[in-house]
Amino acid sequence: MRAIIHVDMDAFYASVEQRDAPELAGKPVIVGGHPKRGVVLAASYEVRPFGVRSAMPMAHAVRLAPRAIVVPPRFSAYLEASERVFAIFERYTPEIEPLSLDEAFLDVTGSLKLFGPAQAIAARIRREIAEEVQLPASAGIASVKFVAKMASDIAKPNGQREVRAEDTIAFLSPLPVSRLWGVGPKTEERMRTLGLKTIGDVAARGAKWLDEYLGSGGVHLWELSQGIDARAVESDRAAKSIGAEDTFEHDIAIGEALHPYIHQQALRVGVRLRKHGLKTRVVQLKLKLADFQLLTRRKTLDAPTDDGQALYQEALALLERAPSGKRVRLTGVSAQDIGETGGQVELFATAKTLQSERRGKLNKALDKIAEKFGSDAIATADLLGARVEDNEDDEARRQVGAARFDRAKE
Amino acid sequence: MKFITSANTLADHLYRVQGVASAKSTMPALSHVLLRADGQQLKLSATDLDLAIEDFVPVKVEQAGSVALPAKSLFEVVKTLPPGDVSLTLVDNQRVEIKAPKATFKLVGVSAGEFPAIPQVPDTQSIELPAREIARMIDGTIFCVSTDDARYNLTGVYWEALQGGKGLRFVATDGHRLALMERAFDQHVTMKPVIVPKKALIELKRLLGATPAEEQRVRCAFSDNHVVFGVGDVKLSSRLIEGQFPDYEQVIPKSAPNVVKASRAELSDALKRVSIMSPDKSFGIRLHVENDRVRVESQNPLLGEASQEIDVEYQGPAITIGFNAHYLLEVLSQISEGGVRIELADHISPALVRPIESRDLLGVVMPMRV
Repeated sequence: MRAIIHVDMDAFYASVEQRDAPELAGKPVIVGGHPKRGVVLAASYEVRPFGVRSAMPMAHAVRLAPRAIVVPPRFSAYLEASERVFAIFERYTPEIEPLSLDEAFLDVTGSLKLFGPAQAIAARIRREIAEEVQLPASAGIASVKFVAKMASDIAKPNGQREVRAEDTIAFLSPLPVSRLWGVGPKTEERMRTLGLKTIGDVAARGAKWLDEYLGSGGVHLWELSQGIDARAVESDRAAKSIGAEDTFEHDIAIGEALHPYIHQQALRVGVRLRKHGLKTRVVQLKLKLADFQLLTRRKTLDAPTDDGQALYQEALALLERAPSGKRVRLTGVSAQDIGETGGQVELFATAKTLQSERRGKLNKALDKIAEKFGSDAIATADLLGARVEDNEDDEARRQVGAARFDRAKE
Repeated sequence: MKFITSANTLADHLYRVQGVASAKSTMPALSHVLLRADGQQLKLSATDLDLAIEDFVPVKVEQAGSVALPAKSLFEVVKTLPPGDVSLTLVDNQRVEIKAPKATFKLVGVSAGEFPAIPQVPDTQSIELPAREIARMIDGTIFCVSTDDARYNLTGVYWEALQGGKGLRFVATDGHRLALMERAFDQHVTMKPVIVPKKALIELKRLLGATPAEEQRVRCAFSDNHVVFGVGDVKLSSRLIEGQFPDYEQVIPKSAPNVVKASRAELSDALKRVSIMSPDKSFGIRLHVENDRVRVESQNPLLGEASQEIDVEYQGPAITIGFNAHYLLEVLSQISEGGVRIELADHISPALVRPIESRDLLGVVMPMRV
């Protein structure tokens, strides 16, 4: 049996902002774009009782919580925090499957002898994140991936929950079916008409019954209801592709608002490719629409690359081909068809190869700076936070800006 | 349709035609060969829309007619028949009965009407070239053709007339290595440079056989975007690759100062042996050249390492340079005998590889950073 930990940071962006500006601690904080046109990117736990959720229009959020402090996003700071968190994971296992910036599966089966039971490892990881990165995290511990993820959801905020194999069915039973992976609003509706409200309802029916009424997907749902999930934790080394994706709690319209997410995801993929000495030939952009429809667009490159900026440019071109105006709940950038770099020199020094060589040198330098000073030390302007773009009537924004300036002086 | 011919003859002709038919097409007719019996001959045609072939077989036509049959299956059937006469008769519903002594097959075809029309290409510029030389030039360059559709202009062999029309030059490259061959011909060659797709050249080679007879000729007719090769009665026409072939002359080193002379067989054996230990996909090996010695080395962190020395002729400075072993092996395999001459500048500059005894072939291989 495996020992799997799902670690999920709590209100990640908002927590980073509260950490970096002490006057925000314990206050309702909204990380978001333009106060009139943007969307909520993260909401601190203090503001959630007002009904503020990620990806809701800022105008709406501000109406719900007029006293909330609005802060512009600083993606580079989130990236930096994320890398420090992942570095802590690496102390305990090499088997890490990143799900997004603030979420990962860890297979610690091989680490139990060294570090003790999974429950203790999760506690140590959370304590080290709290001490070294000053951020709250929650963890779920189980023998299969999806149960671990559900457990961490339930443990939030700042908690952990272990579900032993023998308790799995009892744990799952009262949860709504929408919690199961693969159950979107449509399937949920179908299931409700069949009288399946909780996972326990699914478990009570046999696999045969579910197959008959829901097709082959029904069998899979029954297996999940029994806590059966054969998927292994897939770390980068063994993976055939490397990807980064983030789910927004609410939906964002296809368009420029997605750019910073995609940019940052592309850069994350680039960093991970270079870390393992891999390059990719195929870039894939993944969009999950509000209705759970999955769109993937891919492009084969002229030459293999490990440059996040190049991946970003390709992903943007792919985004252009997506149906504009639709709303998405998740974006992801991945490198498919990855392989060792090898270092083959090109025969024809075209403008493109020369540029990619220069990029290679630049990335090497950037990786070194990030290693030494953290990836927050250097970033592109769009990820650094919209501090310069508009100096308008936003009191909170100015306050936070001033607070940061003070810290910088210290 | 009904005709009778010798099974051997029919098999020979089907062999030449079936390679053009494309097994993986979405259009079923493209995996078929069209048979049209008329007068005293059978015309066979196949096409994948880029490449088309037409061949004629002497047969005894009992009833004129036409049908398209699955190319691979028809060839498989006919080639396994015992020597002797075979008759093909269209029975019903596009089904063809193939009858040999004591054996009968029925093969389901499609109507001739579903077979795409093969474009007829006007012979605007036509030249006749010695088949043996053309076959050799195809072999000597085709291994460098890129298989990468993203680099479309490199997916064929570049044909260019030599200055003053004295002969022909073939060049192929995949962006990491390059092969160049040229031959002087008795007749004058005038043509615009063209890029001929790899598949067309593979099929042309099939028509020419392994070693064409001394006197055999290939007719080549070029139009703006097609080439038609004529070999005997067979006509093979191909779309040309549009796009610019790169300025290859600038990447061929004019004179690299450090010359290694080695036995082709010894170097080739060492590369094969040592590359067993090279990293999986890159086949990276290192050559360390110094003082009449080459040491071939490889290292795979997951597997182990290997090293072999061979005696060579070399008096230049010590150089360590990495290569994809396959790239070197493929060019070496085109050097038939004797010694090989490798000219190096430094560890990131292209290496020039050619036979010592002749100017038959010129290979350029880019190094790997190691």
